[in-house]
Amino acid sequence: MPIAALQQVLALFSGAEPTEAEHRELFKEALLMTVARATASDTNVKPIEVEQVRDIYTRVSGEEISAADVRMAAKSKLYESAPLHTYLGRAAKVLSVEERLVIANALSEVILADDRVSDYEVDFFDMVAEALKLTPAELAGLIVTQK
Amino acid sequence: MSIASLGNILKIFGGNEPSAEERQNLFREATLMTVSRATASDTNIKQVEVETVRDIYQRVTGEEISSADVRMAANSKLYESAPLYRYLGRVAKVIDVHERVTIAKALSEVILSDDHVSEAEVEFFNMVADSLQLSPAELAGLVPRD
Repeated sequence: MPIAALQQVLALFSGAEPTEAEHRELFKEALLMTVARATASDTNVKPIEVEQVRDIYTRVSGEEISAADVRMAAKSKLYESAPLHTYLGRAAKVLSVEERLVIANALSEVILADDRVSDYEVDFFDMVAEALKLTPAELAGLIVTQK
Repeated sequence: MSIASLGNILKIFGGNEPSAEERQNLFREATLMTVSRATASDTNIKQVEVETVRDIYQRVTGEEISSADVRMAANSKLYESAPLYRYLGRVAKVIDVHERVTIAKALSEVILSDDHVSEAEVEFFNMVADSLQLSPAELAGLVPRD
């Protein structure tokens, strides 16, 4: 996904039901915006976190991304015009619970990549989980299988 | 743990700081009350869930418990006089975050043990997590550490 296209996907929908391709693009964009931002959620962007983001993004989306693009997404000024929690709140209305969980799980992997967890990273995770409207049960992997 | 003592441990403290032993007993009691109750959170108590409760309880506490005691705890009238959410809310102020996460994880294991997840079980888990004052990050295993 080209960095220039970030945050463009949600704008495409403007209330209309997204196509399958748009839905997929939104998921990838939300994933990248969340996990890339995690590398900047404490004071410095560590190379091990950038590599973890690249690995996770490739594994989940099937697309490669460069370290430079991850760093650019992490520090993008995009967040100033539309805070991440507002963006994710809108994305949550479109994405399935499974997709929202993939994003949250990917984020926890990135945070744990350097074997340290800061207060700032914990606050960032709580903000993302809340914005994605994930319940405690969903975070624990409990999705209803029978009505 | 004797089933007869269930629900009594919190009364012992009476606002005083619990000893290490009292705290450990409280953690064990809260674990048993939560996971055994999960077997009754849907309409029928499945044997596989009872066995999972026994396995988990032994792994977490180092103590054995019988199937009969699990079933008795699951159906105990204790819950009528002191709802579980209120009990866990008080417990949460005494035990640490790692113990609270352990109880939540044990509960999710029990719920998943029969490969089905019902709406009642999901609601029960959300109630327990809320009562134990667990944040999303804590549920995901993210606890601050240097």
